[in-house]
Amino acid sequence: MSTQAKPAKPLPDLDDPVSAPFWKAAGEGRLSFQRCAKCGYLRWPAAAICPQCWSPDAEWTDVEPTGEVWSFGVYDRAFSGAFEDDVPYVVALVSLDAGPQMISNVVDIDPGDLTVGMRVTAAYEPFGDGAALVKFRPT
Amino acid sequence: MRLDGSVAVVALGVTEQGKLPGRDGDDIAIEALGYALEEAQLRKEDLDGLITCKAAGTGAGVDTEVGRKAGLNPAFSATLDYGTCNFSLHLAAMAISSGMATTVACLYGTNQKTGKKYAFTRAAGDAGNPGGPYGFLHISGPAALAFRRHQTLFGTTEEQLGHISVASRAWAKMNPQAIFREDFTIDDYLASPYLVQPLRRPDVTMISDGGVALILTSAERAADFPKAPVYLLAGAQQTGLRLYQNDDQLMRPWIGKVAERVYANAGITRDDVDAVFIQDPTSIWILQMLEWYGFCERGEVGPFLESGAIAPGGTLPVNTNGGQLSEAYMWGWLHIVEAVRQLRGEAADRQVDDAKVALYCSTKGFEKAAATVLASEVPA
Repeated sequence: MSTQAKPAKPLPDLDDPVSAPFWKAAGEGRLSFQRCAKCGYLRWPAAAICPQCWSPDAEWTDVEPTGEVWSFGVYDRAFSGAFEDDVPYVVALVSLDAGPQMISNVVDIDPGDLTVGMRVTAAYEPFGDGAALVKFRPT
Repeated sequence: MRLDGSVAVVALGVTEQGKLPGRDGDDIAIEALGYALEEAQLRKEDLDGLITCKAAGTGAGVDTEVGRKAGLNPAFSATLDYGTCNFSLHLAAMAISSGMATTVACLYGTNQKTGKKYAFTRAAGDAGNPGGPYGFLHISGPAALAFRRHQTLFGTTEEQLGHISVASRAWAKMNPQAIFREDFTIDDYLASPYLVQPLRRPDVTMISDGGVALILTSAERAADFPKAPVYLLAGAQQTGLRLYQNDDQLMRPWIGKVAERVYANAGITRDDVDAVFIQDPTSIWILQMLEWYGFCERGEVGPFLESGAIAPGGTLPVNTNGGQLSEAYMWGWLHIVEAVRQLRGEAADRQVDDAKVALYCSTKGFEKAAATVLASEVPA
């Protein structure tokens, strides 16, 4: 799309004290969310207050890194040069067994073989200093 | 919001659509307002309300700036972050109903095609779900997910979806204002490349420059204008602001609440609707809203589309202007213009016979929805 140098892929901000623990936990191979200390709600994305009860108090809690594909799209076109080398790539909305719904990639599968409802497990892709993106692969 | 025709659209202003190089969105909006004032036979000093709509990423559309540039000191002014016209219309109706203003201009202008490049490729849904790192870019992304879910649940096919783009083009061919008027068949659709499977290029609007202005006033005053008033019977809104905290967010099931309220408040059923206008950044908006507004049963929009229902000559006139898919990308503003033209009987070759009631439906992305019922007559 562009003759200029390829832009870098956007990465989560590890200097954000609210969300950094999520990406750091992923770097250690754990899927972890803030569990509200008052009402037990799991926050995704990470937030300073609980969207359910507005309590600021929460404890990072590891959950089962499993879920199912709610739906997915296959990017045949890169809308940013950063993803040019990745097409075709899959973006899915994954409904985690623990509750939250995450936008992510499903990897290690031919896009033509992926189906809605397929069971998936987290696959961690390292970035930065000890952090990782949370992607998924078929279980 | 029950209005019973107490507020009316009395004038339209529309600029050329397409490429307006060297122009700023505010200047384009003010040009449109000039046409609307001319149609209304008003001076700008007669306006006591101004509602502007931001043109995303361009900096245009802020009331304080537009007022200064247009030399207006209205009693009431406001800026909406995203009008889609419905939200602007509703605010205008509230301002008029409450007595904050009597004669309100709603404006929108953008140079998003030829002006400073707007990042339509920005991450989709980042506020509610970090998608940028995963390449979840552009409106085609969430729209593709929404369509595939519909396919999985109900067996809807890509060809059935294609009938939306084909019907939009067939209507646009009768609209001299439309940018895209070349022939376009279902075979052309199926031969088009994917953007994000299962969505193809014709499922997504092209970007264009342009401006629209509307003037609204109370029903009592509306009779004094040169053009026949088009009355607002009702408006309704519903948000899904919790985004992915909601189940099935990309299906936008909460749009069904807008449908219930807007029909009830207007005192009509969907059978009373003569023409439907659905803001369509992608074809998926039309697919979903035909169901949520009750024009077919849930899950049955595929066969409904395949039957030719929304094409010229079909059972339900939808986006007779060609919509954003074929007319121009004006974030719903030209849909309301077309609704008014249809209800005035000014739609020439594409005129819907005996059009008396129109429904306009829109959303702000996957975050909020709105609808308005308009009519050529105040109900008895």
